[in-house]
Amino acid sequence: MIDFNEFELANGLKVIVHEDTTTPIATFNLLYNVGAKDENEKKTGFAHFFEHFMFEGSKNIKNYDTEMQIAGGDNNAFTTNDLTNYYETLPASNIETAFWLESDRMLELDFNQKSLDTQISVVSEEFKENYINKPYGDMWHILSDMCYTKHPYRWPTIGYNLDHIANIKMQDTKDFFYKYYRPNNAVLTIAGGVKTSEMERLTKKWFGDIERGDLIVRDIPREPKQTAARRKTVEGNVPVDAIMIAYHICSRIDDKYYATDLVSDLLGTGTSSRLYLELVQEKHLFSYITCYVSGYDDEGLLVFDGKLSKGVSLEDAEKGILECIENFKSENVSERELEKVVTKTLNYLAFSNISNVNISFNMAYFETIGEMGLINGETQKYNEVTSQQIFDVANDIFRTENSNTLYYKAKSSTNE
Amino acid sequence: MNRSLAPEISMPDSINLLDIENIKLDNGLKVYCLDGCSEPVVNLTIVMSAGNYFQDKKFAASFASSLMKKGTSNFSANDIAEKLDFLGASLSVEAGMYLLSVSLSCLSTKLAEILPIVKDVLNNSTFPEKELVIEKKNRIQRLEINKGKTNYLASIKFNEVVFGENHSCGYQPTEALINAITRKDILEHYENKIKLKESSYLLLSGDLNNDIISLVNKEIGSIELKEKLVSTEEPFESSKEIEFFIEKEDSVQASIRIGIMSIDAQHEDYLDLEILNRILGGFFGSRLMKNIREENGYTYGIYSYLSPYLGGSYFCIATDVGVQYKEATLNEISKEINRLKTDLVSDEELQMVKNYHKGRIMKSVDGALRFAHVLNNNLSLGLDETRINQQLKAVEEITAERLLNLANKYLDYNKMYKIVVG
Repeated sequence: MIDFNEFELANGLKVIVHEDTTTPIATFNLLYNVGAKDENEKKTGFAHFFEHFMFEGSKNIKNYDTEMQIAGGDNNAFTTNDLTNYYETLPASNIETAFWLESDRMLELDFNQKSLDTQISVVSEEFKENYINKPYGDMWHILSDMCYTKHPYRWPTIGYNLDHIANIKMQDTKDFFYKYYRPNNAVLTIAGGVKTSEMERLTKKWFGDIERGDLIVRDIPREPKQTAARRKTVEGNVPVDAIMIAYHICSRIDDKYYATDLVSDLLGTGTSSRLYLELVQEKHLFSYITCYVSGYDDEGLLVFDGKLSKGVSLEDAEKGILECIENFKSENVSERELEKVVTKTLNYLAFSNISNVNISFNMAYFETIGEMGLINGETQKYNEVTSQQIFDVANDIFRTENSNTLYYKAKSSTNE
Repeated sequence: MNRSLAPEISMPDSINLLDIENIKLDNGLKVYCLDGCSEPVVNLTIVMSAGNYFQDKKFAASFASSLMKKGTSNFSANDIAEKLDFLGASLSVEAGMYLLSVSLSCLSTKLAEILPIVKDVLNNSTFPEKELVIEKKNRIQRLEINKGKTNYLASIKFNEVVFGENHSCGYQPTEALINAITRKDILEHYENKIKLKESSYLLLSGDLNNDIISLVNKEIGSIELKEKLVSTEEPFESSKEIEFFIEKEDSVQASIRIGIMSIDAQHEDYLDLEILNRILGGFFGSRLMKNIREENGYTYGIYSYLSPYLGGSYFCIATDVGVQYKEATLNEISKEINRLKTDLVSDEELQMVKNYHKGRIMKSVDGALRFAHVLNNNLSLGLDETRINQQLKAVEEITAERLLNLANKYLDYNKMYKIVVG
């Protein structure tokens, strides 16, 4: 059970505090409600790039990282399709340093051209390291572009291509900052050895005079319902063939999400899952196969992701997955199998709640999507899923016309 | 309010460490208990001297660790997987350089049902031939995929070069070696090395109580301990050649590893050398990160680290850079190392590193589970929990002069191995 206190400043900044008297450390988490889905399709990768730029100095403070380290703290950030999150962990006695640093960069950035140029280079290297210079690194680029035709989930957070990164201009950063990085578009959470009254005083002191921004109305196109199966075959410089099959699912906020998440666990998580037992152990079609949900705020994906065993054709591998799915759709899962994946998830939630880093992010996330009750309510949501719901969800999702199949062939492949 | 003025900083002088309770199970197995967790969970880690160093055949330790859960005399592989998942337990077996550890995390309420499985994995694994065949196939495939990664190639080359190709930490994984391993090799390693000995130990952490300890005693405490093994030193044989530039077609990035053998964690200079490494490349605010990433944009990240093992350590700088920046990066790394040898670290930078270092130590021992992890690392190096306060003392007392001396004593760019792949 996570206890928390909430308050809000006049400028719209929402704040949530979780007091934990057992630790001398505190985590400061600031979430901005902007992600890759808010990008212009000609300037993809921008939200993530901007996350880098946030560390390049603010109005009154030259070097964010140095000041954080002087306070004995460590910090990081990440960008997803839906949000951008910054967090710091430091001795609770120095928590004010986090207020000082984060409020100054919410106030105004340094907007320095040399920093911009350097970060373009750094992010380009990040792009190369994770998406070009790595076997199978571009699969997600290809798959999301297949699955989404209108919705901005069709490009990954790193961006469509290196050109979009290279073309970023200073004016872009200013427009983006003053639109999205305003107190009324952010949630601040603090978890650890702190007192709410003191956090309230510090929030008012450091964030109180930052002006709110204009109300943001998101106008993101909805993805039209897919009506026909899509397929694509590409070749890559990889040693073995790989396959991904993606189906559209509900959003993270939908009540059906919990059953959908469990469907992916039943099929693909761990060595007692159906895919592992049938396709790796029994039929030797794959050396590795898993299945997961994307958990996006808007309608997401359930993805099968596997590497084939040598000598197996992509057609046979696909057939194996589809047979497994058909099997799954044909009857209710047993109570024991369902209990198994529920317990696994509850266990995961319990371990996650040991860390104040996780707690502070989860509080910020649930507040952002307007579901603060879920911070302690997800256990029950998972417990309430029935095998009938699993059956219904599976039969709703796993339809041929809802599928997107990507064959990723090894260039030197002699499998056929 | 003046926003350009930093709030006052205060670093705690000491860390209140959780008490460690030392007990012995009925069979004599040594247990370290660390109680304190907000959630009803428990972690149990059993450590034995059965890592790569102790194997009679290459890959025996790592195959044994992968296959211990794949069938015992009482449960099939699928039974074990299903039962562990059903009980929400995560059980991992890992073989390292010297040690092999079996680690269980679960809700405390499920422990009674899980421990019999853990006991069986520790004592009655059967290593079915069928599972070995699958494991070999999958490993060979993973190896092929890894061979496409410049950072993998650079890392294994680095190990080979510093330890020597015949050392248990330096040999290159090959398909032939994987194929050569037999069920008999694995069983022998299991019987002779892995099965609990007088020298093995157990760490129990989380939300503990007497019932949990009795349960552990009932299952694990009933396993008979074998006599401990006598270990002999395995000398490493670093390469005579120093530079290895390996071209890889179509690479957009090159992976760089630069390093050398260093001193034992018990050496009197070690704790201070850790701080020197911190300054050079041991965190985001390090000199290498500032130079290679933040000033020049050659990379997404660059780190250096001191990696200790029982009896020694090695030092390594690792990064992936755009292929056009290979030469420039090597030059800058050389410059940064030399700068540590000629110029005193400024008071400002030293203060920053001291505070950061302290903050990391505090965080690393925050809560029973994390503390158990740190304690385990220290035990594996022949140290104990007093190490944490020694680290704090070292960072309190370190001076710029001392760092300069250490840099001259231990960091010689010209003598370091240089691996560039891509």
